[in-house]
Amino acid sequence: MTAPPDLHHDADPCEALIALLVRAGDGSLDDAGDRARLDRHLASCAACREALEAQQAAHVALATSFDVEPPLGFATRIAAQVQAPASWFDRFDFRQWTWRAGPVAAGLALAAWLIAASSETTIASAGGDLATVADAVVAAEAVLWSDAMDEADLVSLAWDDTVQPDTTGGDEAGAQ
Amino acid sequence: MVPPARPSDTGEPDPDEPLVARARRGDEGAVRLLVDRYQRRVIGLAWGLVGDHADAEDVAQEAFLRAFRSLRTFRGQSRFRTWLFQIAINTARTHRRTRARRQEEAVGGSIDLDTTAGGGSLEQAVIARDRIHRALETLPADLREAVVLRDVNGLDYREIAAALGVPIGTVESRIFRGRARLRQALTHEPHDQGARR
Ligand SMILES: [Zn+2]
Repeated sequence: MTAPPDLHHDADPCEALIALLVRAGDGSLDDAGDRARLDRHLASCAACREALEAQQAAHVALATSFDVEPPLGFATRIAAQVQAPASWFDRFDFRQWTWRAGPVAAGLALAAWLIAASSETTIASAGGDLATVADAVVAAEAVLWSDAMDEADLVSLAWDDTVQPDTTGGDEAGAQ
Repeated sequence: MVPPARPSDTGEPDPDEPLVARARRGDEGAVRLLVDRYQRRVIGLAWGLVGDHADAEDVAQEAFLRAFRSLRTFRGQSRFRTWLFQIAINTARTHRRTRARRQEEAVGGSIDLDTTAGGGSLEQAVIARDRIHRALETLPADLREAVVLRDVNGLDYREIAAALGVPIGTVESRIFRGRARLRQALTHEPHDQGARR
């Protein structure tokens, strides 16, 4: 993508064309005016011609490399699992929420944990209380997935896996 | 009442709304229809994001379950499918982090894209596809997510902005750079990307 130096001064005209180049690359540049503007530029800019070719090649490569055949009965299985109350154990797999995920969720999770800890002896014999606990956990999870969250929440809501409560906690090296 | 913290969707009525309403009331058939409608795209999205087909089905299943079990919190601020894809993206991110922890030594190492092609055309096609998958793995997460949402999943630019919670210009830039780097990885071109980024 080495451009002829005289075509690229300080204010990069190519930079302004990225929105058009990406769309031309995947065939969604529909506006005739945009298309003409891009074509005029391409006529005199080898770097952008090369960039466009790369956009097209990468788009085709990706678009044709992930053909999915869903496993048989996938939808039916999920529908059944959604209806079945999750086992309390499943629900307790509460993903090591980060504190940034929100005070409400954290509070609910903490409350659920406290209740679970205090009723530990009854776990084996009766599931009644646990339904309540599990509901609290699910409610907390529901808060996390609320579509009303702003984007900061969306970023932090990615479950925090850097803490593993169940393991020895030896390596806290942190992901990535 | 909720401030528009994210780029809005198209503003058109959500075609999934009737099914979503039924699913919210516990209608198992509606859940099945919604999964049917999006299973290919969610599995494909997960595949592109986690890089492994078998894992992708698990991630997709988990994403669907999370979505439907917390459906009551979905208030239609975005399209249902945008919300569903957000959940899938987050589930995939978690999966990658968990996997990275498990395979500390493997991750970060150089990924060998040199595969000697040979044999019949089917075999070559499989090898080519494998190279593409592995090239995708070399991209930084933000670029990978953007190109997968566009080129694998086929979301339009505005919807990608909504799903990722970033401005549309950021989406365009990430897709541009992501594709350029992917192309570079696939062709072994030693050129750097120049000032354009
Ligand atoms: Zn140019």
